[in-house]
Amino acid sequence: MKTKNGSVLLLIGIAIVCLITGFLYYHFKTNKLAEGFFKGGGFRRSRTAWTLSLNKDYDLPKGAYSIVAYDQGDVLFRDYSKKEVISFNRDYSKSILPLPIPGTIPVSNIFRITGNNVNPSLFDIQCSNNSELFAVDLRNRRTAAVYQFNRYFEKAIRLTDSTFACLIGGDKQDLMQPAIVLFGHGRDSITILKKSPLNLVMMSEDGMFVRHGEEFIYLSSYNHNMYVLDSNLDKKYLGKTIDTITILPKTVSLKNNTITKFIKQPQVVNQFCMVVGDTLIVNSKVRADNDDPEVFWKSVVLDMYDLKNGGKYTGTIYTDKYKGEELQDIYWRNGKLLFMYPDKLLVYDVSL
Amino acid sequence: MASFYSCIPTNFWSMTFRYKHSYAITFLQCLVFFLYLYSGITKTMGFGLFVNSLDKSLFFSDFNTKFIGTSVIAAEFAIPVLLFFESTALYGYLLSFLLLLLFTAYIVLMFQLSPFLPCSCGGLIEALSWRQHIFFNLAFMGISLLLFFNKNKKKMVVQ
Repeated sequence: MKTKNGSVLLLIGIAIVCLITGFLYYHFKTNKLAEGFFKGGGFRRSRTAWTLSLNKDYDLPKGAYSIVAYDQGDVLFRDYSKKEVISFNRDYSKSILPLPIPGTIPVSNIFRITGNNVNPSLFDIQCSNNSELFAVDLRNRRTAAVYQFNRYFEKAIRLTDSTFACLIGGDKQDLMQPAIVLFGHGRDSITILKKSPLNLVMMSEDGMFVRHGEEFIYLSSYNHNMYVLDSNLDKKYLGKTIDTITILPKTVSLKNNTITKFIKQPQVVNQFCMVVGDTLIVNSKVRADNDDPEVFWKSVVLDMYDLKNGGKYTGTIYTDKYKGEELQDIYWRNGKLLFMYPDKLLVYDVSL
Repeated sequence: MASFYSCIPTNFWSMTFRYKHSYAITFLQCLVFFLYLYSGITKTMGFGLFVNSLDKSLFFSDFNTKFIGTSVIAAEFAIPVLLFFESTALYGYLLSFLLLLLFTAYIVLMFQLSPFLPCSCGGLIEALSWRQHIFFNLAFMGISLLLFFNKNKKKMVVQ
């Protein structure tokens, strides 16, 4: 009798599991969110002729890093757990040289550290919450200049010694606008030289802001929009990444609009991007219809778009993830492509 | 001269087998017990991340993912509790098998249909590849089913 009971329970349980699975399948096939993801009817990738060959690799203690600069074999990267930027020595000995960030800079507010493209010996340290940007010589621990914004800013790209292209808080709350700003002396001596008519909703339309010659590109992280702006920050054209994802994640305001948060954690569509010559390279997180699942989930996928041809998709590079780990950052400089993983930095040569 | 083997009780070999069998069963029981305890603890400790990864899944859009997350954790903690008592262990193995069957079905669905693969397993299990994940689940499904039938048989013998 007991055997019968056990078997009956097992069969009932299996039937319930089948019902739940069927329901999940039906829900996936019919729900509007999934439809929104595939509004364009899915997409297909094609492999590009570009190839990557490993040039160097560096071991790191497991952590969270972002690449700051790479110049003639000298890699500088930020260690988020420490108050320092780290450099690998130029002698390729792979020994680590810590470069402490000057104590006057509020480390907890650092949004991003980038190489200074006007003076290569300096680094730009952006502290968005403080609305400050520091130009620092990390090797001598010397602060060369402090730029003080009079409003929230982020993703600053240095154009000259005193001008930056960046996203600034828009006229309406929760909006950001690309702008070019000029600095004088002191916090209030900032002049907005140009402001884009493009309004981006904070968080929902978060993305990456990069420069291509005189143009600027804003690539959304959560859908397929690729805004290409001219030197006046007017919209030149709206390109699309190939993933066909149109929806934007929804946010909710809490505590009298002082806190905004996502209703549900959104899935990143475009994780990283960079401009290489006239090509925009985008690290996509979305599987195409013709991607083999087994290959796709083990690969870093880099989609390429021709910026001279209206942002047209030209092909994809697939390269194996190191130990299946997720990428933390990518960086391009002088024919070298750098991949940062939690415990490894890989430097690839790129060839056509 | 009496043979050496004649000194050995006639049921020695079957007893030895039974002891070995019993050790193996105890070992498998411990594996299942600690798997769910570990999984439940890691999910509870990273509850925010767990719910975030459920949020990212297109299979749970429009669903209350906090409720789903809490239910999964509750089920995972229920299994070691059920296994702890002799009288409820049978239901523990059954729940273990069904939960793993559901997880595996979900992984296969996600692997084949979803454009994203958010993993919500937590801890060391999250480090497995998707293929390894499926094999891992199948192995534990087999263990759970074996223990379930073993327990069920014992109950029948007792009755």
